[in-house]
Amino acid sequence: MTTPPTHREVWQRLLDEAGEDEVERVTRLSPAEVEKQLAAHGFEAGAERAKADAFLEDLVAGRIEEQAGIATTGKAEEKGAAQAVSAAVVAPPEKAPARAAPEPQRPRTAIALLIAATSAAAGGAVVYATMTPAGVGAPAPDDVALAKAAEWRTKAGAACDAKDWAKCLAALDEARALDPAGDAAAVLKERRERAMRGILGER
Amino acid sequence: MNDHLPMAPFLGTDRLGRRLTDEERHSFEALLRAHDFHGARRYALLFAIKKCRNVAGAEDLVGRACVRLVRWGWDPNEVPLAARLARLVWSEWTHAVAETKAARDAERAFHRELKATESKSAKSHEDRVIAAADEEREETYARDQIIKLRAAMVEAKDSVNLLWLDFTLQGITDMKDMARRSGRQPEEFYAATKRRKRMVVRLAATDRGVILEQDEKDEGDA
Repeated sequence: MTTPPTHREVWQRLLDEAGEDEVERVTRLSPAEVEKQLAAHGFEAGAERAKADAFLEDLVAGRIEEQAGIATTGKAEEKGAAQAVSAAVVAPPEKAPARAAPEPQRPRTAIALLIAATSAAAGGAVVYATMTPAGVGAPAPDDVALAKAAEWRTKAGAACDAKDWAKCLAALDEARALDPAGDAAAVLKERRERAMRGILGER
Repeated sequence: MNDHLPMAPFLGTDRLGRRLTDEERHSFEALLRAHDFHGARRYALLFAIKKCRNVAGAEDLVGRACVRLVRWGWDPNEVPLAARLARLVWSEWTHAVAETKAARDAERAFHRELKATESKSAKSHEDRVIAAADEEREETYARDQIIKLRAAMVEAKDSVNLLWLDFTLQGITDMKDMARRSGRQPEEFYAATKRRKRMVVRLAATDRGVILEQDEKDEGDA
């Protein structure tokens, strides 16, 4: 019997899969192409070289570890003291993590925080084909944004009533992008929950 | 990049469970220089700017990716430095470290206070609570993303990828097996991979407040 993976494992697999192609698209460029594209974005070669040098200097001086709070606990220090000098680089042929992704300390996004804070399974469908660019994360939405958010919420309500769950969630997401604070309303939370349950019910 | 050098992997501080010694720092620096760290960083920077669309954000992503490199290590036998750094940028970008760090810091501060007022056992309690909260947040976030992905698949009427997702969630990963169980052709599942990758990239971009242009959405088709 196959053991079902966690959502985290599946999402990580999806990210790894997509990331490989994304990375390859850049790393197959020639150094000259990279240079040209960076210059087009306004990066200066000299300044970037200096930043790279600064990183290496900080690394040697131990400042990187200090700033990142690496192994500051007594336990870690004790473990370190017991290990042979230079074990980090001249290491046994144990494989270092092959991919960036499957690390245990996985960071999450603001959405996850929102979910944790509200104890609601927040989220939403992204209906890409019908999506329009929206202001994201504006700290103080203006009247126009609030009006547009209200419009999206009305659309979400209609979609929800019509049991078009994906559209309902997408509209709720659009509204949230324009007016994050307004998303905390109980009625919207309830609507989001219904839509998510609806989507899961489509399985 | 010099591919002819001795290829001892750098394990990283997370695996070592401690800070580096002076000698290790110098060895790692030499390893990075020998593999053209400056050039590799430029690839990572280009990758980052393509993802987050602003110079400050790209610099920040690359900075965090470089710190990750120290923590998670790198095996030159497995992947060139430029690709390793770019993967770390991808990982940072798709997981939005900055936002969650604030929450985690707040949590730690709370538990430090708790520790100050509780008995000796508070530390292990703190660790357990933080680990459990982290895990729950990660699982909830992943579930949320998968729901969005499913909705996008429904919207696109991508029935093969919907099947793929359902099978994958059940623990079935072999595409031939998926094809056999669903009565589809294996080729359909292989062909669906590209569409699925695009959906995930779009989802990650939207999550980070980046709206992809149509030509970028279709880039993978080329």
